Amino acid sequence: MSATVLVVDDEPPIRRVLKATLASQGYRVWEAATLGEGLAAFSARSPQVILLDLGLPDGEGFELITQIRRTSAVPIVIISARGDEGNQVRALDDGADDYVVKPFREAELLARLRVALRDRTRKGSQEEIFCIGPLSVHVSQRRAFLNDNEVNLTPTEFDLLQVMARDAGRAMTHRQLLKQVWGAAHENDVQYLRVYMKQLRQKLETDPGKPQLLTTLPGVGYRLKAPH
Amino acid sequence: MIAPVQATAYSGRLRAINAELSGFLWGALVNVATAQVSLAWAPRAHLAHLLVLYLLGPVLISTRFGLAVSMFTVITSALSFDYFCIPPRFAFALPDTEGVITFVGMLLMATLVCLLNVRLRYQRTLARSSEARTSILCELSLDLSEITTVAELPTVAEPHLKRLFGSQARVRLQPLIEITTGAADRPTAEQQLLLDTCVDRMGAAIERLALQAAARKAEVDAEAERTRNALLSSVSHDLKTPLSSILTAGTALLTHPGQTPTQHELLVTIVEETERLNALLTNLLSVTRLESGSISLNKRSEALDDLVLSVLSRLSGRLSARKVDLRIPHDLPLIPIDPTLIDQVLVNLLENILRYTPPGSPIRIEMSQADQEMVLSIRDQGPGIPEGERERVFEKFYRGRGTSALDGGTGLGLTICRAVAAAHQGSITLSSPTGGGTLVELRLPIPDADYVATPAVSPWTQRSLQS
Repeated sequence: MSATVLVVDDEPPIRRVLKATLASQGYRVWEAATLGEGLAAFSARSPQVILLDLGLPDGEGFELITQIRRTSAVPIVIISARGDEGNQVRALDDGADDYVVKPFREAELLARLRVALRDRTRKGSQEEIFCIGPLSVHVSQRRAFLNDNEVNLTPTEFDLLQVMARDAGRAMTHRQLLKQVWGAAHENDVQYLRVYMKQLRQKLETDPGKPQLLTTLPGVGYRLKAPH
Repeated sequence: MIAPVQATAYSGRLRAINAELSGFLWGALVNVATAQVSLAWAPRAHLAHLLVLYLLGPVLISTRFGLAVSMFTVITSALSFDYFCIPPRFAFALPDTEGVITFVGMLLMATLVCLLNVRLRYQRTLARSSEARTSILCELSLDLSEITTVAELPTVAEPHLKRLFGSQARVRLQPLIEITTGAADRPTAEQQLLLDTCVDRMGAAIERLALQAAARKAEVDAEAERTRNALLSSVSHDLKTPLSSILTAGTALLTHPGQTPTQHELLVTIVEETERLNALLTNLLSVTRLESGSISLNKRSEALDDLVLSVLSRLSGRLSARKVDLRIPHDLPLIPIDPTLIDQVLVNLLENILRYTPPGSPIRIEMSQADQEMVLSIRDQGPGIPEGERERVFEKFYRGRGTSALDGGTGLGLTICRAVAAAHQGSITLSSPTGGGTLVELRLPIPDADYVATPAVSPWTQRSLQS
C-alpha cells in the first residue's frame, strides 16, 4: 500500500506521531500545520486522503473542507476532541467522510483511513451488491440476505439499509440518513430514524442488545460495519 | 412605583386676594373716570352716546379681571349711568319705556361681553399654564433620562417639581416614590394628576436604570462565562494533545512485531494508564464545567437505550467476562438529553461496577417508562454500599471504605453522574435490594407528547424511489 496522506494539524507532536505510525503502515505522509499550508499542500500533492484537525491557528477546519469540496471528492477524516459532537456533525454534513476522537488508538485511525480509501476507490462505480460480513444487499432486486437467508424488510427499512450499505464503515449523521431515505423535508425527524434503526437491528443483529453491524455514534448518527 | 402623593396648594393665595382687591379698586376708578367724563360731556351728548361710554369701562375691566370684578363694574356702571345721565339726573329714577328697553338691553350686552371676555381669558390662562406644565414635564423627563444612578434622581427632579408645586416640593424614594409639597390642603384633581404623572416619570427612570444595570450584569456574566469556557477548552486541549500523541504512539508500538514479554507489558501499561489519565481528565473537566453552573446542555432527542448499547459495545472488551442481562422494552420514547454527558454517566456507572464488584459477577440493566419519567436501573452483585455511605459517595473526591488507592477510582464519577442527572432535572439514587449488590437508578424526565416515539407512518408512499 502506498496511499498518500495529508495530515493537517497544528500540533507538531501529533504530526510526528501520525507521520511515524502511518509511514510504518506504508502510507506516504505530507504535513501541514495551518489552513493555508493545508490548502497549498492539497493543490501541490493531491493526496489520496486528508487527516484534518478542526482547530487550526489561521481558521477553522470547516473552511478547508468547504474549499476542497469545491473541486475534489478526496476523503477527509476529521481528528476531533471528545465532547465536540456538534462540530463532528457539522464537519460530516459539510462533506467530511469520517472522524476519529482524540485521543485515539492507532488501530481506530487505521480502520477509518482504510474505509475512507475504500470509499475513494469505490466512489463512482455502480455497485449492485454490497457485502458486509454476513450481510449482503442486492440493490436492483431490493433484497437483503443474512448468512444466505433472505431478510424480510419493509421498503423503508430496505432503503435505510441500502443507503448505509453504500457508505458501510463510514459515520453517517442523522441528517444525512434522513435526507437520503426520507427526503430533505424530513431531515430533522430523528424519531423516524430511531424507529427504523431499531427494526433493522431486530431483523439483522444476532443479538440486538449487542449490535455488531449497526453502531450508534452518540450525538452524531450511525455507522454500519465496514466490509472486510 | 406609584406612591401616595401629598397635597399641594399655591402659596400665592394671598397674592390672589390682593389681585382681586385691586380689581375692585380699578373697577371703581374706571367708573369714577367715566362719571367725570360724562358729567363734562352730558349737557351736549345724546343719551345713547353716553351709554356707549358707560359700556366701555366694564368691557375694559373684564379684559383684565375676573367675573366678580367685572360684574361689580357692570352693576356700578349701570347705577352710575342711571344716576348721572338718565333724566331726572342726580337721582335713581326709571326712564320711560323706550329708555328702559335700551337700558336693560345695553346692560345685558355689557354683561354678555364681560362674561365672554372673562371666559376667554380664563381659557387662555388654562392653556398657558398647561403648556408651561407640559414643558416642565418634558424637561423633567429629559433630565431624568440622563441620570446614571438612582441617588441622582432627587437632585435632578426637585428643581422641576419646585416649579410645578412650589418651593416646598421634595422627593422621597424610600419606601416608595413620594412627592411632598408642604401644603396642608388636599390637592385638586388636576394637581393630583400632575403629581401622579411626575411620580410615573420618576418610576420609569428608576425602571430604566434597573434594566440597564441588569443588561450590564448580563454582559459581564457572559464575558466571565466566555473567559471560563475559553480557559477550560484551552486547558482541555493542552492536556489532551500530549495524551493523544502518547496513546497513538503507544498503541502503534504495541502492534510492532518482535517485542519481548517485558516490553509488551510495559507498553500495555503506557497505553492503559494513558487511557486512565484521559478518563480522569475528562471527569475533572466535566466536574469543573458542571460546578461552575454555566454548563449549557446540548440537548437533543436521543434514545437512551441506544446510548446504553453504544457504551456497552465500547466497553465490550472489559465486559466480556461478565454476564450482562439487558431488559429493554422496544417502545421507549426519545428523550431530550445531552448525549455526551449521559454517555459519560453510563461509562462512569459501568466502570464503577467493573472496578468494585468481583470479576465475572453478573450485571443487570433494565429500562422502563414510568409516568413522565424514564428509569434506567443497573444492578450489580458486588459487596453493596453501606447505608451510611450511600449519599456520601456522591460527594466530590469521597471514596467508599471498600475502595483502595490503587483501584484507579477518582472519587469524581458519581459526583458527575448526580450533577448531570440534576442538570437534566432528573435524579440518581443508590440502594441495596434484597439479594445483595447495589442498585443504581437514573431517572430522566420525559417532557411531553412530542418526544413519545410515535412510530413514523412509513413515508414510503409519499416519496419517490431511491435510485
